[in-house]
Amino acid sequence: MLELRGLKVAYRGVEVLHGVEMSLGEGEVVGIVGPNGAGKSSLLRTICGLIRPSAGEVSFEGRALRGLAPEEIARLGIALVPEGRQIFGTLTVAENLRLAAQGNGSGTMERVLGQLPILRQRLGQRADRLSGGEQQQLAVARALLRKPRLLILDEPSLGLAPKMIDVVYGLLEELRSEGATMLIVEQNAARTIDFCQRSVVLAGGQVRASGRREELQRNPAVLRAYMGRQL
Amino acid sequence: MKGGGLRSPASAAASLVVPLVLVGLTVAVGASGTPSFEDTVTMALCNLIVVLGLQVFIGNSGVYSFGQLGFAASGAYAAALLTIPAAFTALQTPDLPSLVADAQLSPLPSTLIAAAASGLLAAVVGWPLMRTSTLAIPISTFAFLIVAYNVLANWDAVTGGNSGLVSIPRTTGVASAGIWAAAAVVVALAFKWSAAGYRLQATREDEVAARSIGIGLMRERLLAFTLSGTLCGIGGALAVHQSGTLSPSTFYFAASVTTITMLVVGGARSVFGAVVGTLAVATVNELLRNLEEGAHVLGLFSIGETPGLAAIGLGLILLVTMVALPQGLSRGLEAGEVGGLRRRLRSRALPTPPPAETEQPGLRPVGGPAGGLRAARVSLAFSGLQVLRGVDLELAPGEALGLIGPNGAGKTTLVNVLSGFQAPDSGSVLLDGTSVTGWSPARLARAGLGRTFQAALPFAGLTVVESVAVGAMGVGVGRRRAVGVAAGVLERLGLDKQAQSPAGLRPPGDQRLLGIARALATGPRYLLLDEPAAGLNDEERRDLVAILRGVRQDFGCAILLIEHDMNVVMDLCSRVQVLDDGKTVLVGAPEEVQAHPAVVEAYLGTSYLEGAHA
Amino acid sequence: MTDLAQSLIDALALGGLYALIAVGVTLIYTVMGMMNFAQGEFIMLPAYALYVLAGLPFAIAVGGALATGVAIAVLAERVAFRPVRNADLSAQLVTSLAVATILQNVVSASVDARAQSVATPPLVSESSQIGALSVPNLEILTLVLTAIVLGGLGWLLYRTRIGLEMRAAAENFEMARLLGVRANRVVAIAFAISGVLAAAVGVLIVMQTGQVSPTMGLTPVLVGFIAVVIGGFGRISGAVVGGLVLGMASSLLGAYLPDGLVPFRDAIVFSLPVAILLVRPQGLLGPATGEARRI
Repeated sequence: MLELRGLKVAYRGVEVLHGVEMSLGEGEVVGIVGPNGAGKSSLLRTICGLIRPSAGEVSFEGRALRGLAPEEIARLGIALVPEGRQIFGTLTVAENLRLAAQGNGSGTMERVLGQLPILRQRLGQRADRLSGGEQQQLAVARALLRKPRLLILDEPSLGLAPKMIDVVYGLLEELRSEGATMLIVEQNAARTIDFCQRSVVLAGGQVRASGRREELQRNPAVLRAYMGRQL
Repeated sequence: MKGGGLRSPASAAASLVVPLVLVGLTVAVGASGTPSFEDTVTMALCNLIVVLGLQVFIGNSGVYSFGQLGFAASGAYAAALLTIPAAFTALQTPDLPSLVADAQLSPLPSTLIAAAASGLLAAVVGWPLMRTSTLAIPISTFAFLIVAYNVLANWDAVTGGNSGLVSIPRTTGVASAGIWAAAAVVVALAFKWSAAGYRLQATREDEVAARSIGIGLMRERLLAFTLSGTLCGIGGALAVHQSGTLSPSTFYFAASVTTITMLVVGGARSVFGAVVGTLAVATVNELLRNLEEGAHVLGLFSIGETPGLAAIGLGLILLVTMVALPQGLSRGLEAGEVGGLRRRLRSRALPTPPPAETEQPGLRPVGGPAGGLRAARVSLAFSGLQVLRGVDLELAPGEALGLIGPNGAGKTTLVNVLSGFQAPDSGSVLLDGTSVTGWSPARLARAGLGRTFQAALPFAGLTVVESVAVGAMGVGVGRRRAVGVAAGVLERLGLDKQAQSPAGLRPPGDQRLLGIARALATGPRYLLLDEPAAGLNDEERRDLVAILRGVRQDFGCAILLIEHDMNVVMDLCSRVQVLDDGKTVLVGAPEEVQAHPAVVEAYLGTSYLEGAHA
Repeated sequence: MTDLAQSLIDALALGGLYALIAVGVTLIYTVMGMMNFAQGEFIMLPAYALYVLAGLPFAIAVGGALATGVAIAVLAERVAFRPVRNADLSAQLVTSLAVATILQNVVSASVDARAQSVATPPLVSESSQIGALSVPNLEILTLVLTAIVLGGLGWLLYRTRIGLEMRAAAENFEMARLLGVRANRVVAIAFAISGVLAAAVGVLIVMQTGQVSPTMGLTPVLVGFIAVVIGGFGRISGAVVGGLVLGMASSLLGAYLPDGLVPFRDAIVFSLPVAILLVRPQGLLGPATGEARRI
């Protein structure tokens, strides 16, 4: 469904991805882990069209994404839950949701609110009054309302209390069981590797390791990517 | 003045001589034509002086001022009132103080006084305006222009009001205008190449980086603004002595647009551009003016009378330039730099620097003998998040301390607090025993604290050696010595071969090093590096480690290193401090920290050590 | 007492007018980050439409003026501003300056550089009795129009889909695009609305002065800029407040300044904002912390 070939990306004059290869099939849940500065966010932003790659290709369902505007890529069915949530603080919860829903019918809205009941309680409130965890749920709801073919989450657990992280991952688990295709980027390697069928370890702008869940759990290669070669 | 190591003597000479030759040619052309043509050329030269005034401020600061013609107006009115015969002054401006009204000076003193008056006005007006934010300066200077117009148009008894002034002696000829224009070229170029000019250009390239090397935004802008006002005042004074009449609308919106067009078309960043742009636009303007009367074009079709054609044409030229050629005809380069771009890109050895710099510039010990950089119980919250919770940190003189921790732990925020970019909610920062909490980044830089940023923040429009030298200039070192310091630093970091190439074109690894070099040029005793290895490939990272090792020994500064790459941290640091969620988790020797379960867990989220030591 | 009330109504009317200008400038600023020098010409051209359409019934002429405002704004965006949308602020500012000067001179060349008179319905120059006050009809019209326009804008922004998209884009353009909001459409509509606002201002100014001139947009655009700056960049509520403050200050100064200083009223009014900025660089309603630092 999603393919990255030889991707090189520069951000603010510095090359942050030195040729990344990756692929993601329909219904797969893949994680990308690695220390900060590895280029994980740049990778996601490139897929979504916010950054132009300096070399290489990104293709989605056979279609090259290079040169498309972000809104066009979004309309192809890719939804991003960005790092730091980036909900529209000056809009109400309901408005945030409405913006995303775009005539997708009230059925979808009902379903999503069912999965995230706390949002239903907060519909009339300004979004910047929500707690971090609630904002994260709002961000995910917003992405879900787009009925995406591919759901991308950038550091969904960042800045959340452990209990909230459980809630968020509980939702992701539900989505997984419904067959959603997801790409999850996290700095917290353990949780992600445990959660995803397959993970990729990105460090220093390059893929250092990749494999199925069992292969990566407690793998020295993962440790090394984070903690250095001496380990 | 001629570059002093920042450019080859040939390049410097060319940059100076070519615009002067252009001015000379213009004078010659003007003198050889009809009297009315000579008047037109003389006016163009007066415009040139004003445009050079614009270039000094706008070109070097990157900030647009729309009010400079207010200073041309003040110069014009001052010069006019001082030279109009007393009898006429009494008629036109009855309330004028007799000191001015009776004065009937010759052109030179009146121009000089006009220059001084405009300069003084610019300093006074500039002081509040330069304190407003970068975004507000274009608007507030525009307001000044309108205020100036308003005052001139309404203060009838002193300025002649809307009807303006007449009977101004016409003393400016093409030769005298040419001499003043040549002088203005020299002044503008001298400023651009001076330490003050470089400091201002640094603010244009990157405000944040400029502050981190000791540069005060407001001060540098005010200096250029004042110089700019002086030059504009001279241009106005000469212009009014060419035309013989003056009214408030002479130096108002239309003239502002014309002079800005001349600057932009030529290329705001270069003096050569200002000259080329002025001459080009003046020529086109004249051609269009002639067409306004109606003409046959190429014998094919005729244009009827179209007043305003010249102004429309100029507007279109400005628009097209902004869209298609924003750097102008000169691409922002001086005459000695144009065409030599290919030469610059090939490795170029530095011109021989002065004898090796052994003393560190900018060392001004604060408090007693070096006592280390300390953060004491620093707490900071923003956007509702508590980012730092009572963090302590100690960086002893000469040591290398690593600062690690997962994303969002507060490492960069802590460095921002240490370097003055953010003030803590509580707690304090001490530099060599003195409390420096709340000091500005520039002040801290001058006290011996340097830093780099996660993004390289290069001074893309300056050459490699200029980018580094301006670091020394930022902390008050004179230009000549600054170049020597830069030469030494570049050599240590292996960047000396590319000294003359534009910083913006260097590969990312070099730009990283440039940021470090620039900070080193300020002569810091404490150097804070924010993820210098981010985005580097394996080879570049190895080189960086080698360089950083050498830096401590050669420059004698302590290093605080934020890094995610453990290899770099382990290789360089004698101590490592681990931050997580705004608190210190552990401080200790690298090996101890690397294997500590709590640290591993902070990063990876679970105990990855079980069964990993296979 | 009636004098004071009279002055206050005068002040409020001028404040309303300035608020309309400021909101027009802010709309473009929020979607493009650019202070639009050509806003004055978005005011001037519809005023000239009134001049050109003078023979027709006034209502139709006003309609023509409004259409002119929309057309010129959208055209300018498409032709001149879209190519520089990603350029730096200075470049955008100078581009808008170029557009302004071109439009000014086109009008100057095709009509006349001098001011022209425009006949306005006599009702406009009369006054109505409200209680003890004699209020010029034009002021009533201005106040009513301001209220309608601001109300309409509020309805548009808070009750329609496109308004929602505009508010989202103003807060976080990138995120809005990630949710599928079409950048080009949002920007064009912001310009169109701004054009209508400017046209309304142009019509009001013509009704007040009875004249049009190519440079009539200069002072209004400065007013708009200053109002936006003192209100705090980028917030519509700030623009309204800034416009009201500036307008009321200007009007009250005009009423109560000693005679000798009256010609300098504009000079004084336009110097005041600098004083505000010195004390509070982010403007009256600007956020407490400055723009986000990218360190």
